[in-house]
Amino acid sequence: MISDKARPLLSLLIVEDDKMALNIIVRMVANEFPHCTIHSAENGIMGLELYQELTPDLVITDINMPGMGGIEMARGIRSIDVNARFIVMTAYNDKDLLDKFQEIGFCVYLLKPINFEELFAAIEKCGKR
Amino acid sequence: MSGKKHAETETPPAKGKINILIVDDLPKNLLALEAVLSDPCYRVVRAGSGPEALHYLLKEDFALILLDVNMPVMDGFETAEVIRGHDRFRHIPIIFITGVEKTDIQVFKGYSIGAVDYILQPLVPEILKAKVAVFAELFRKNSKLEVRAKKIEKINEELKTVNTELQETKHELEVETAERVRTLEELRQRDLLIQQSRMTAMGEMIGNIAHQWRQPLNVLGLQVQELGLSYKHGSFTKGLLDDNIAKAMRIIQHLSQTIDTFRDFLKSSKEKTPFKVEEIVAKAVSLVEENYSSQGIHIDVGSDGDPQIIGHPNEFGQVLLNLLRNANDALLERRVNDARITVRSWAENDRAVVTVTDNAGGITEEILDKIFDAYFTTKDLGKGTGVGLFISKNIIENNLGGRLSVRNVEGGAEFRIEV
Repeated sequence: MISDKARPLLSLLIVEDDKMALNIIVRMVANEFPHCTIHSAENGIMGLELYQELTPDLVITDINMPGMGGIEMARGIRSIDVNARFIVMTAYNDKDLLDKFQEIGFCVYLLKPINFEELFAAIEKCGKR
Repeated sequence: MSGKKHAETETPPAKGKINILIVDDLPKNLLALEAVLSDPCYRVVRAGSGPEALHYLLKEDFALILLDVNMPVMDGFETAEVIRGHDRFRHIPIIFITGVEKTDIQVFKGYSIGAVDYILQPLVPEILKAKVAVFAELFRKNSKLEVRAKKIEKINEELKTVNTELQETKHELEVETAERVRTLEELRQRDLLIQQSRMTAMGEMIGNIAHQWRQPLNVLGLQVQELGLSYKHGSFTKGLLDDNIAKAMRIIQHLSQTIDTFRDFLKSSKEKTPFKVEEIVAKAVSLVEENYSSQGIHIDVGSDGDPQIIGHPNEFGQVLLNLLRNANDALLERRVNDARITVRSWAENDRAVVTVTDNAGGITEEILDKIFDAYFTTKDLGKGTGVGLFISKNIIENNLGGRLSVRNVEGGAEFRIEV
């Protein structure tokens, strides 16, 4: 674990429209993975722009967001980067959404309310190159 | 012909008297017979010949004929034969009276044409009386039976009539019963649909609550976990603790208020009260907007002139929810981009007006006038019961004395409440 965490250079993009949730997630992930670079966005458009600019290793995103949602954003990211990896956070255990995201491809699908242990484990798993 | 004259001049018999026809060519024999048969129970009619006898028979009914065998022109047997040939007289008993010596041939002849009996002359009054009495009694009994038979026949007729009437009544009742059963069945179906629509509404309410709770619950969970993780990482401080507790309490308060709002909205109020339309619109929209926005549907609200209505605010709110749901369903079904529901309320000539407008393309003209009918639905099986708009119209028009109408406007359908 520690050696994994100590491994540098993993960059994350976290996209979540709820500011309070976003802040806590960013803080806790930064605590857990001190060597990661963490970027955050409050909606899909911002997320897509940041991805184009920074090309992070892993995108952790909400699905339901005003304006551009997580699925649309992921589709946009996938079109510019076939290797992009996603951790999906959603409040809906909804087959349609899951199917749609599956077409784009994701690494882990997490249901809200988010359990940090699960999120950390997902980052561990999906962050490995 | 003197006998005929006699019979005609005689006063008509009292009712219950028995008619006896005596036939003999000799007046002295007739007199003798009449004398023997003088009885208040009998009315004796004399005939001097066979043809005269037939004449009387045609005129009235007789219980018995006493018929002399030896008569000129038409003897007793010939007369009897003619009598037996008549349907009406066939059953009248005949007693032959004969002065001729009894011979087997004559007796046989007598019986062969249906004589009932015969008497030899000279007459023995007692025998004659006794025989006549037997036939008189037979006639009386037959008459009674006939009267009874007629009565029975009459009763039968009446029974038949009554029976026919009963059959008709029964048929009418059957038709009526069938109709009632059908009505009951329809009522039951309607109840069932209303029940189903209530269940659907409840289900939707729960969906709305779930939508409103998901995000705050997530944040609440994150805040609680943050305390533990911070402690683990050594970044835990009293400031963080107080801050997270305060934030968590605010969220809990918010969640609590949310379910209160829902509960209040579902409560049925007993008394009518004046209410501000704008407030109910805002409440109804607040219940669904999170759910709808997660499906990409935006709700615009605008109000002008602070309209008021007197009635049950929650019923009015139910109507708004029905109209919002209807718009939402149409927008989702038609996969409208930039899906939008606009709710406007204003005061107009002392009336409150609310319009709920969508941009789902409108309603086809053919179904525009059916849209408020009970059970009418364009939605797929299981998605709509067709009762929502029917109930809404009922509430607005029957409970609030207003009007609920629909028309197509540019881009979609507009429902208009006027109270």
